[in-house]
Amino acid sequence: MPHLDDGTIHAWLDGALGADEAAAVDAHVATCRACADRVAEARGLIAASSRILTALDDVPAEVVPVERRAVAAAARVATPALAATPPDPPHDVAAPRTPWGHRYGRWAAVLAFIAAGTLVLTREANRRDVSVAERKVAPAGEPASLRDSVRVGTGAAQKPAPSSEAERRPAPTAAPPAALGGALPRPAPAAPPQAKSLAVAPRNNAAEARQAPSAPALREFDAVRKKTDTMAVVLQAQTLSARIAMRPESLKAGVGGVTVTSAAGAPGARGSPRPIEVDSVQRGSVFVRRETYETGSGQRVVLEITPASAMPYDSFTDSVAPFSAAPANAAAAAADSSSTAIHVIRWRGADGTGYTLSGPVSIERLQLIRPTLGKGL
Amino acid sequence: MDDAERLFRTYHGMLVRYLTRRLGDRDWAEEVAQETFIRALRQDRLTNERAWLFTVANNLVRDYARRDARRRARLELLREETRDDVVEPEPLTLERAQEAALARRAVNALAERDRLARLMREEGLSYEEIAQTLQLSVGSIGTTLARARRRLVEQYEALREPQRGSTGHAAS
Repeated sequence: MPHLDDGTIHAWLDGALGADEAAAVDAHVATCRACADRVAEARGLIAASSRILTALDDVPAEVVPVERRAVAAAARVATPALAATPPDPPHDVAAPRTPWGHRYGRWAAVLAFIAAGTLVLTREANRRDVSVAERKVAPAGEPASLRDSVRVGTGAAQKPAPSSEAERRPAPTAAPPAALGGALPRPAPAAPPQAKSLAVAPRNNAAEARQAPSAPALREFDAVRKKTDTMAVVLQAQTLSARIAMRPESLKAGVGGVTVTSAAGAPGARGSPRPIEVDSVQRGSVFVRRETYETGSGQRVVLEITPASAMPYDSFTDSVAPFSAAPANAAAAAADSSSTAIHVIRWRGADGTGYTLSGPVSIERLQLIRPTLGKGL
Repeated sequence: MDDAERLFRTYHGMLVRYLTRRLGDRDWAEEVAQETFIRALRQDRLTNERAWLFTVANNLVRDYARRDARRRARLELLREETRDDVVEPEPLTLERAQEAALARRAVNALAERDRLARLMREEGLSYEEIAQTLQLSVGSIGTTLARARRRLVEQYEALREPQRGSTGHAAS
């Protein structure tokens, strides 16, 4: 019998040979010193490789130390191939999980940023309100508006928070590149007349102070939200001339809530629900985007968008999985609508993003509303 | 115990360990394993449960990587950056972390087919099951495993050599 090849030796040691072949190998090894040495070597390789593989079990769930993420983010920006792509959403499946301490640190930075921005905005708006009141009527070609004051105020306020990873990330395509780069955003086109009338409205009138983002602006905002974290959302909201407000309940909970609201509601497409409110809420350990819409019949439905990275594989697998329930978010949104049971449908987008649509309407109605939202189609 | 529970109890730990060793990320491994079991439950009948589960898990990983090459590139970047940067206060933990990092690099240095065959064999899959999963002939599995084992050990020893040198130098 010729000398044994490595494959046969390993198969023999693994017990993968048939009885006859194994007997022949056994007999050969007993008489061939060279093959016996190779068998001994193979045993050693099997044992050593098993030990090496055992060492892989020490991999923790969070494989990347916190301090390295900042370096990685900087390297990502510095690497053209990676910088050209949008950053991953937080809690990326393949990306490291963010420890709570680090996450709260980011939220603290966001809160500080919003507070500073709001303070400057308020002072600037009040100053402008006074000047407008003194002049009674604003000149038709006046370039300054509340939008400008929002940008100037918050633009100055964004500089003290350079530690946020979002600022080192490339700007989303929907935003001017300079918006996230620390420089002041470029001036927006002249505000439409309606926006100007809102801009000169009394600051303490809550209904008028809430500036209505247009439907395209909300869609743009949504696109940006998917790609960036909350800091970027705030910055992008500025470029969209959206009013940023702090939610007291969020402050009590220790997290920041960024709300873009519309008092009048931006008119949606014909027959589609119009967006009422966009904000961010915490669901467990995950922050999800929540959009509130008003249907043509005056009922409010809520769409919650969960990032793909935070989506477990065991849910949202089917295209539509309707069920009746009364989740807290839907109940809150529909509290003033009626006592109709809350229904929920869920679906998952092609990119894995999870969508939950709920409201005091029938499942059939929710399914009719779903395609009009243009989410996860 | 129904079929779903039996399937999960029998293979979940094995599959997660295999995927963790392959991917280097336990969270990702558990998610892929979960999706694998969900798909298994949709099947009316599985002829070879273990081979089927490993095949689906491998396909999920492959599809995921193909669909998101950018994320994979980022992982590579992170992996390179964190290669020698597992900072732990205790020397013993540091040593284990370094060994894990070396093992990861050695495993990743293998050709994919060799790596998968070696990892699946470590989980007890038979030659027939490995062949079915990797779509190879049964007769080639012995050679594949022999090559994978040798290269894994050689690669690991080669990576350890500089550390031994620096440790010896520091000690002297």
